[in-house]
Amino acid sequence: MSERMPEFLWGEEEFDSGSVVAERRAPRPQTPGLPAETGLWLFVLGDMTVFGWFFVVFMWERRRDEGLFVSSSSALYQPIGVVNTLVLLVSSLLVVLALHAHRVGRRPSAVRYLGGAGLCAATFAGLKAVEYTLEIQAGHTPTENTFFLFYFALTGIHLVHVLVGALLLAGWWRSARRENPWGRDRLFAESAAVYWHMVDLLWIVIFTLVYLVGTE
Amino acid sequence: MNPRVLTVCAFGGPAAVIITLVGWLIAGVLPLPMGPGASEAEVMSFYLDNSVRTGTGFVIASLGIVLYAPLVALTTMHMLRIEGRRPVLAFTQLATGTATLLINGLPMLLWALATFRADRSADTVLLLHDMGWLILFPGIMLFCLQNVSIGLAVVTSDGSVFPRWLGYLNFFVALSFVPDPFAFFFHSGPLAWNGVFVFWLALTTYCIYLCAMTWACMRANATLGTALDRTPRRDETVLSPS
Repeated sequence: MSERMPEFLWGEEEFDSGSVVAERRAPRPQTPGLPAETGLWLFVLGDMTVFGWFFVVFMWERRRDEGLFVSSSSALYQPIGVVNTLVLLVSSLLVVLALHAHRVGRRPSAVRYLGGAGLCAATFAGLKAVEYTLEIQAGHTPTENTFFLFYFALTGIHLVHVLVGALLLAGWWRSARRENPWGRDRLFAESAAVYWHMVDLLWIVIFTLVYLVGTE
Repeated sequence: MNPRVLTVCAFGGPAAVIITLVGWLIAGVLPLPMGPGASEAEVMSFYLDNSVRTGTGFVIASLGIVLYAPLVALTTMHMLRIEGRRPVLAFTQLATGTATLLINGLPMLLWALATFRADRSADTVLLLHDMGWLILFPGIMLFCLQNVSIGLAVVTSDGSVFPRWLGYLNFFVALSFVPDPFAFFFHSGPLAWNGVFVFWLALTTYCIYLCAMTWACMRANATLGTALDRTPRRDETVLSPS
């Protein structure tokens, strides 16, 4: 009888064996010289390709109506953009430091660096909220023109990435506080770091294209 | 159970893609779908000028979409193997996959319905037209969650059932749907329902996802025989990760 049932309906034996979780967290295979694992890079390159299309379409639209893009771009709050760029660059540095500290076993430093990076992420999201509020109060909404469509879409989708990244950093922060061997934490820590650097890199391109290229 | 049934289920993905696209081609949605900026007269003529052909196209498309169901079932079964006794992600995947079938199938029926009466007012036809489009793509949150649950299950596994890259592919597919809800707010351009970042991006990643799942399920089917010979446990490696 039992072998005809789905696995999750089987009997009670070894239902709560704690060993299952421990074995599931066994060290992952590693490609030498490659942080995290190959699959993650598939994700990162795929995501950056989609953003790449966004940038190409943005530049295409800008060529069609340069005056509109330049005048609209000057309505953005450049200082907030600059501060957010610096905030993300600092967070990337903190992530690098945290990864190194975690790797060599200096867990308390890693936890502190990650806390700093998390603060940066929160600052970024907070400033973005302020920026959106100011823009909308000034009457600039996504439906106003093509430029604001791209501004809200690009920064909005990027903000979703920041929030996902913040969750990953939080997960890493938790694992850094426990005394697990590095082999067990490596994959998640490196994946979170790679993802966070991607978020930072994408923002630098968005900042350059949307905030700076318009204001000639 | 006849292992061929498992193979047939796996091919539900590509079959769904081909039959749905053929249906859309017959109905006239492809090669270039009509945007939200189309006039009432254009929408009316789309549904009513060749109502039999258009209706047939959408009926074929609705038949194609349902072929995704066996692939959802097969994915669920392999996820149960990954998750073992606490298969919450497999159930999330099953629930969201089932709802996705409805979200994707309903627009076909609404559009077929729009071709049913020639004397309907333009307003009604336009409403059915909008309903179909704005359910099909912006309603993709269910599909997103389905991809995230497959991704999480695979990435936290040892890669013996589904290869680990499939998990990351699912995360990517989920993120590629993030621009879709913008279709509620735009009547033209790349974020309208027929735009590059809604229709074309989602269609491309959807097809990649379905074909990748078929490939991965075929590979996972091949490991089933060994697993069924004895009592499988999720912490046992059935096939050594390559």
